[in-house]
Amino acid sequence: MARYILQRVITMLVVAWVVVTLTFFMMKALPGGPFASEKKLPEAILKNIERRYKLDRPIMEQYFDYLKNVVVWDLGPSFKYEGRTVNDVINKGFSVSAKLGGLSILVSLLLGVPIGVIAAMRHNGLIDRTVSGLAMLTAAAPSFVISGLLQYFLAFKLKWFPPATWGTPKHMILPILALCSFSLAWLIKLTRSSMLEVTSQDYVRTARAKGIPEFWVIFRHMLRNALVPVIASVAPLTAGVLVGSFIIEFIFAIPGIGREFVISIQNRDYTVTLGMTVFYGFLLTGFTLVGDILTAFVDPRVRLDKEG
Amino acid sequence: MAAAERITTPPISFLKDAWRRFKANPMALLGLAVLVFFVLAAFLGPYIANHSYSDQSVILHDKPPSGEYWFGTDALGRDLFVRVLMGGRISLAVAVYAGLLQLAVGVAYGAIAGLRGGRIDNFMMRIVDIMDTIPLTIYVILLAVLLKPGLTSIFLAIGMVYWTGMARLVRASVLALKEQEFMLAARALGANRSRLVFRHLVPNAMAPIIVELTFSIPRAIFTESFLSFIGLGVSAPMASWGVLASEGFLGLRSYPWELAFPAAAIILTTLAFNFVGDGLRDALDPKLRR
Amino acid sequence: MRRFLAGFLAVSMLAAVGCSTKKNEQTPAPSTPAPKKEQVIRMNIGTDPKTLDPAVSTGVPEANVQLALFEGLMRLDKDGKPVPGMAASYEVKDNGLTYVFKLRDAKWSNGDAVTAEDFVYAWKRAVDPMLASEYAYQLYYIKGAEKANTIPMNELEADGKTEKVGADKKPIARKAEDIKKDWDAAAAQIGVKALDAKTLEVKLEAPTPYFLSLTAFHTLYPVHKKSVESAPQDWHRKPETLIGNGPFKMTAWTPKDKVIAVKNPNYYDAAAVKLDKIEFYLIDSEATATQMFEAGQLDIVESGVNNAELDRLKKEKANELKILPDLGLYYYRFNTTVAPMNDVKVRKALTYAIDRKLIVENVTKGGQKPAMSEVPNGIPDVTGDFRTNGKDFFTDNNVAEAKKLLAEAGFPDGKGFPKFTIMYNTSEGHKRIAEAIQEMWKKNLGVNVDLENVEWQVYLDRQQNLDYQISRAGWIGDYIDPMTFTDMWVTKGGNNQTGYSNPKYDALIETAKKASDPAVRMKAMHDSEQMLMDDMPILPIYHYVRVRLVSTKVKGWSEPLTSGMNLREASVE
Repeated sequence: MARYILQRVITMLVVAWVVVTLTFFMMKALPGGPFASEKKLPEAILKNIERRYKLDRPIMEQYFDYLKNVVVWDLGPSFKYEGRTVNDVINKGFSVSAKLGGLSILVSLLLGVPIGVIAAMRHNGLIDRTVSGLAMLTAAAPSFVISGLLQYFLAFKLKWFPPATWGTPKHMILPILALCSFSLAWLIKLTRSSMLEVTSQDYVRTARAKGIPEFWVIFRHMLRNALVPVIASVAPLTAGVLVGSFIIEFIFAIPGIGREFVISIQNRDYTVTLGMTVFYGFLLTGFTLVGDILTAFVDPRVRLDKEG
Repeated sequence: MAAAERITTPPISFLKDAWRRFKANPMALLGLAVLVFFVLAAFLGPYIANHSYSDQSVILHDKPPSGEYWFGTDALGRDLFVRVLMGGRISLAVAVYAGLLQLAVGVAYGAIAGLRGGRIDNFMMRIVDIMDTIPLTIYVILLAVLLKPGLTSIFLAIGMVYWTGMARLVRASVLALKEQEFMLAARALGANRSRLVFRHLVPNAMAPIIVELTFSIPRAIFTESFLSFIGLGVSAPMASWGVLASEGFLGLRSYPWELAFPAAAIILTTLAFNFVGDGLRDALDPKLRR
Repeated sequence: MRRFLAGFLAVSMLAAVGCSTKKNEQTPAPSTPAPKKEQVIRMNIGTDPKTLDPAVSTGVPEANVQLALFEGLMRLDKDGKPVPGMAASYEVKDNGLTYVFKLRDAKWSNGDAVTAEDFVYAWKRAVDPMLASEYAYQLYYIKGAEKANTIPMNELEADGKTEKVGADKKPIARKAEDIKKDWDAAAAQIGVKALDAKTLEVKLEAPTPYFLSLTAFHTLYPVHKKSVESAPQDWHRKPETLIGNGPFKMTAWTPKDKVIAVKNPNYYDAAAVKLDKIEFYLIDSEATATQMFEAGQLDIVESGVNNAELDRLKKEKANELKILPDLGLYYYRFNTTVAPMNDVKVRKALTYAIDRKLIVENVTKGGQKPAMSEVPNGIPDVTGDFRTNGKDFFTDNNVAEAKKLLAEAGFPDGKGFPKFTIMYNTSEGHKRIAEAIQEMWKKNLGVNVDLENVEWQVYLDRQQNLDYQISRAGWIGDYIDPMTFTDMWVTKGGNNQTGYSNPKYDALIETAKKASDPAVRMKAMHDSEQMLMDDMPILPIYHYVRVRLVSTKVKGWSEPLTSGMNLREASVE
């Protein structure tokens, strides 16, 4: 087990390093440097700025400097917002997005898995059909449509919740609902189909034949195996939530990181874009690692399978 | 007697069998019907409609559905019905182009990795892993911002980035099929590599590929609507469903139909593709073959 | 067994619901104000300020915040007239070439006294070429300022004009020490001097009737020298170093969320300030900002009134919807250096073939005024209003004339007209107008155009580099004088960006700038407008109005022309 974890950590570091390198050189290769849009800055000032940001050094030196800085987690200054650093931007934004995203995933898991299990157990019954149908419906609507509808009905017409911004728990409900609509539906579907697949397995039939109560059958035998794909998908789910949060953050005026990211691309604020990509990279490899370890705990076959 | 030993049921080909199973699935059929209807409506509809998608009667802006304007009008007095139909052309075209691009890149990549195996396979898959580390939508946004906004850039961006799922799938299939007896036989008969790939591997891997393709289309439609929402959509007066929906979003509380119709189009199409995909998956799954 | 499952489900459902209920109960005390009305105004300014350094910022959101945090020599009252601000009194000498301001006893928010030296420091800093302020030209009226701002930054050839080019084809920067030497010499010549701690003497290049209004403009605000020098890169971001002399002081700035300012007890007229706090919201989504206003989460929507909902708002929120006059022009730029835009007949044809009335009534819907001229209403002429006197220069929707001109240019009925593109910065509003115009040109002239939306930065870039054919543009006047519009179009003017160059036009502007006789000035500017409309390097569309949503509870606010939302005397009832 320990060897497996070590293996995965090393892979993660390698992947992270590749991501940093790729993104760095990609940014450098993009047309229009960071100050291309400044109004005809006199050359002397450009030189000044380049000197300040060390942009006049040879590119490999810049690269290693950047790597060194990444290790100590200094992602540089923002070029568009004078006086702000990328770390600042990420920290402020992430604490908000993490809450939004984390709670969404939690809600999706806490609701999605039990509902999926029930639907599977009542395969093709009324509950199953309704639940699957609703899940499909919500998953089929783009997030801004769902956000718009939530705002319209629950905030505007019924006035139960504030329509936007962030702060109190009341402000969190609508954005979380909007954000978890897709992942909730997806988890329900996944759990359901996974349970269905497991339910026809031999060992389950054996357990039932032995007379074990259904609840134990589910809990001790089926869930463990059925949840493998669910756990494995938490990482990509998080990824989806992080990115999908952009529109939610825009519509609900939430000062999160998703919006910052897209705006930084539009603003050509390269350091911010670069820093965030690196950040996402680390975050997601971390999540994948956690997901893999959890899966390894749950499913011994995985540990023994060296093939990635 | 000899007659009693004959097998009474006639042999059924795989495809016919699959189609039979597909037909038995009511939701899948419904999905297929909806899709066919939408495609026909999108391509033929504008010819029979009263107005063109770009004709503006600015004075008649934001009118609710009526006999003259079945879906009402938009902010510039254009007929929303025709615009939704035209939007269907764009959205479906984007989705299909993107799907085909993913298909081409993904299949080639996955087949090569699976066939070659060993170090090359390892290396190629590491690259896929790395690409997958970053949410792909980020790449799509980056690309769309860099390329000129418009139809081509959108489907290029989506297609060039989302092929990793297809690649993994094809590779897994190839790995599994590689060792099967028919492959052994083909190789023994002296088939060269491309023949192996195209005449033997791919047709057998077709099932999961088709299913994956069917699911990638609604994903592309979603991504396209997402891009439109942040201003990276096709340029006016052309409009995709995503563009129409984001335009309608602004006036949600005053003119809800401007959002409702394009959104309904997206939802129904996505559902339809999902049902068809589910149906295909069940129909083409050899394990279920009875 | 089944019962157990049901129980299992029930428990998890309950847990989920219970958690959310708990969240609801954790909601803090109701947001309705306490019995004594809390004097807080929540106003949306539409986007995160790029920088709050008054010498450098260029945008309206920034100006709104700076209006609360700083005060210049003069300030604008609710009618837009300059009244004493930091300057208790002033004297005009030498036929308008010299101003002597006597400062009142005013303090910075940290208790330091506001001195004349603060203004000298701030104004010289604003024209320092190393600061690279885009608005430095606002100080060119001051003697020596333009010269100091334009000292050569790159090495020059022997002729003293053309820049040397290095091996990489880029200009060679001069050494920092050389620039500093030149700057020190030039700065000493700038016509602003502190005669003593409370007396400021300003010498102008030429008599400037609107100079007093200019001192109320943010580029001419004083800054607190010690704070600026303690953190040159980011003093304007942090409450500790953003020391201002205005009615409010900043206490927090959470990016993308809010800027919070509280009453400045050290403000000399603190007694007149009734508000305790202003929360500047930074919401860029119009749909959201308008929704928040309707839900009572915002008191003022300065920026972000949802245009798509304007018809409904006019009916349902008639008391809150305020349509204020503005001093601005919405127009399209022609790139006069590329065909077919280089032919004045083509430009005129395109200009005449638009139905502006239709656009302002059905697309923008805010009561904007169709513009058949450049300078909007609201600027006093020698007598009367500049625009009213100047009248219109052409007829709106003159399709017949447009067709004729297009044919004369060689494109009868649009045949053979090359396809070209209208570039605009991404926004629903600009898109709608462009689409309407696109259709009008197709219908009226048979001319087909494409539309292209680009990000703001790219948009600015491309206009500057003349990398466009037609570009959407807008310009809001900085002070109440026609010059704020007319001097844009001089040859190589920083805001020209059309390639338009007419020495006769430049001469007219020179005349207007140098003349002391108002009649001469105004005539020169009227003539320049006529010339502009004859040459048509720009396509005027409409004159702006300002659409705001202001809660009926807010009293004492004002937003005169060229000013942001002034809450100095505002209160909440």
